[in-house]
Amino acid sequence: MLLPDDLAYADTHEWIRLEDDGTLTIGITDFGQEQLGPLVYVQTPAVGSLLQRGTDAGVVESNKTASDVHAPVDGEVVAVNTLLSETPQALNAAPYTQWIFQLRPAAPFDAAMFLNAEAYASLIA
Amino acid sequence: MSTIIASHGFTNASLEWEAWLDVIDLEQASADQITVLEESNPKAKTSDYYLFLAHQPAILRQRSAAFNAIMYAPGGMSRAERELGSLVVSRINGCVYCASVHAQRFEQLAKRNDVVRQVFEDPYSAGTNAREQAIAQFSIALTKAPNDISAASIVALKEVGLNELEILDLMHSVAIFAWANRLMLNLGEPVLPLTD
Repeated sequence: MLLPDDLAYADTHEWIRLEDDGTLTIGITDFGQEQLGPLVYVQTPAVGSLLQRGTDAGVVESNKTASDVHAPVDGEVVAVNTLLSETPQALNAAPYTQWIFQLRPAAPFDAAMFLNAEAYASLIA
Repeated sequence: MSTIIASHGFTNASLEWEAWLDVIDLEQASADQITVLEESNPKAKTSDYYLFLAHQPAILRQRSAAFNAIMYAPGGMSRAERELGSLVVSRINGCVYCASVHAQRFEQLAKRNDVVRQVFEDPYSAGTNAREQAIAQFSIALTKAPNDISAASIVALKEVGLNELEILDLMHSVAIFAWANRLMLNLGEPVLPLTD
């Protein structure tokens, strides 16, 4: 199970990477994609939309089930990974490369609000 | 967990489906049968439906490719509306299992079940707005009397905002479940959850 040390994790199985410009890149974890199975559909939020922490930011769907992707913090969507609309299974193959959306947070990101790799590993153990 | 709806013999609860005929035995299955099951659905190896269809792996493979293309192709009609069309055709055909699957998936995608309840209660008047009502009406018409579909039927969809790609997706969604409903209705039966 891949679990990079340089990411923050939400207990809803999103990973969050703080970029140099202060924006956040968000995807779903290796554990999350494995639980869903091969993805057949990824719905991304609209660029420019304002999201609140914990609200739905998209959907990842396999033949088995559909699961929401949540906004980890308040912020504005500044980019989405358009590749996933055509090839959702790319996310299964590379869950930490194939991000879902990028957010400009309303406040400076505080990683302490989330799990680190070790804590997330304990969560899914 | 969503609210369980049960009406007119239909439900949005999770159901199983049991085949009336022999399903394949995984221990005796050919390599091609195993491969197509693994390609088709994460639960295929424990699902009577897939284990039965795997008697003809080439056809199951075509079925799964068509299903994925129709229900998940990017662009066109939203995923939730494709599920709504599939729910309506399943309700009209009386496929309790299929209706439960599409009701659940609609709810997962749309985050509401108001129209699910309406479809179970009375599909002919279902729809929380003009667009949903038109989708339901068209799905019913295509299910009950496809020969009666005309240019006017398409105009009615366009008048509530559907574009031609969305209309094509709706037709495909109804069509594939017109077929799937018949398979499931004639090859087995739904298994309802145990109640206290």
